Amino acid sequence: MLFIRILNYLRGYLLLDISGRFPERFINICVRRGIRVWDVRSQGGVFRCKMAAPDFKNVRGIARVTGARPKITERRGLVFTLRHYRRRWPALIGIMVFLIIIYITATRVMSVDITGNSRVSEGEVRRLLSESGVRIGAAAKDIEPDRVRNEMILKNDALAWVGVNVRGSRVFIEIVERLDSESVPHVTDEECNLVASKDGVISRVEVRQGQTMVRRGDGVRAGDMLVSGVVDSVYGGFRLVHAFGEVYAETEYSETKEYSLVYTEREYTGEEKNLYGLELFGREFNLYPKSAAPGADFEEERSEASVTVPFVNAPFGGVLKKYRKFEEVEKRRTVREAVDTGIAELTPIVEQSVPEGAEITNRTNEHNILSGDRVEVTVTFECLENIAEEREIDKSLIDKTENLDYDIESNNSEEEAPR
Amino acid sequence: MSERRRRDGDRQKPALKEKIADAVDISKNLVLGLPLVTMVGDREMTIENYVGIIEYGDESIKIKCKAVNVALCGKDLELKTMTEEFLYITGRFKCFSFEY
Repeated sequence: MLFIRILNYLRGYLLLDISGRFPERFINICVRRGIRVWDVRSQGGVFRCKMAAPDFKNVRGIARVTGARPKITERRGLVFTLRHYRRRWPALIGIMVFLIIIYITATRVMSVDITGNSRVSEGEVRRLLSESGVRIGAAAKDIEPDRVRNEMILKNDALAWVGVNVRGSRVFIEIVERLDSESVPHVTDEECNLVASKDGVISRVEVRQGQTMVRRGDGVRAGDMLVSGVVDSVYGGFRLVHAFGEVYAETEYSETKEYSLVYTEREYTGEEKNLYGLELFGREFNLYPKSAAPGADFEEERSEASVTVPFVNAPFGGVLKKYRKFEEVEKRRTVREAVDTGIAELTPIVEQSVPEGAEITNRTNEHNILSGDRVEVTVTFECLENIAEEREIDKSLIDKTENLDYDIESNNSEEEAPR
Repeated sequence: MSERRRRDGDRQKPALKEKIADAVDISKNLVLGLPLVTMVGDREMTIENYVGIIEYGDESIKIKCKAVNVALCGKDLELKTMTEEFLYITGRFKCFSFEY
């Protein structure tokens, strides 16, 4: 039924009011002549019905014969609707332009979203994309994600993977960068071993590449091989790699000094002398006779006050020298006191020798009583630190006759797991 | 009188045809010119084998068929579709009768 109505609309139909003496006859004749009439309603003697528009021209004769007066009250259908808008052709052009714009925006790349890049700049990614044909305005259906991905990865080594998703007119680029090999501290780009930089006892070995030569608990001396860059290949023979890793060892830092139980100490007598001097052009002039100069049993304490004169580099200043007389007194201390003094003196020295990055795990103090009222104090720090140090492989030592059947260059090979 | 005789004759003619139709066992509406009426409750009606409309109004419709006329009365009657083969009427029917 709906289909028939759509068909009628497309062909166009008329709403007729049929008045007159015998409208029934009019309809009978119409039907007999093959003129389709439908939806007939009677309203107070007037028939209201629908009729296909092209048939109306054949109705006049019937109307004359039957004395009925058909009157068109409304025209319906596509033909009449279009005729109604015939004068509004600019609107039609607008609709066409609208459709064209819709078509263009739907088929062309309108935006390129880039996510996931941190080291590779967005500008660089956009440059690579436009070289591969992904740019704003390009036809979206011409983008081949696999080709774009391969081209970008080949052109920029920092890219590990590129996801190219075309969603209608938007292109989403997902960047996965290669692991930042620069962040691993290393000195050389050549193949190398890791050797011990200090003596120590191995406590932890973390090797990312290379063949481990030491185990936990092993004692090593400075220069000993920790991780070898010469790796046995699964394909037979060997290959050279850049050994990477951290080897933590327990190291010791200590300082030893002898202390005597008998020592001298200065005792001030209370006698003081104040002497003055002048400093001019870097030279000092005493303002007192030479005979007034104090002897060796006086301790000097200087204080200066200088004035800088504009345009003259040299300072002008006064010097106050304060001399205090002292006497050296021999004293004796207990072993305990001597050790305490030693620890207080030696601890900062040891602390300074511990390198940065080392973790101090233990502090010990020892003392030995020696002959002749002397005591030996030792302060020791135990530390945990990375003692791995890169050293290039001496290639002259490698047996050249061995078959290197694996690519030496592949530093970042992942299939090999040397553990 | 002559008119009446003719009508009687008209009425007797189908009787013969009816007998033949019975004998040959074919549908009577074709042979005798009887309408085939299909009703769906009091709402829809299809009349096949009709000749024309005698009277048409909002509350009553009379339809001429070859052998017998059909009269229909009710409310909001509407001739939905008209072709040479059938009529399709909708509305709320009250009574349906045959007229001679």
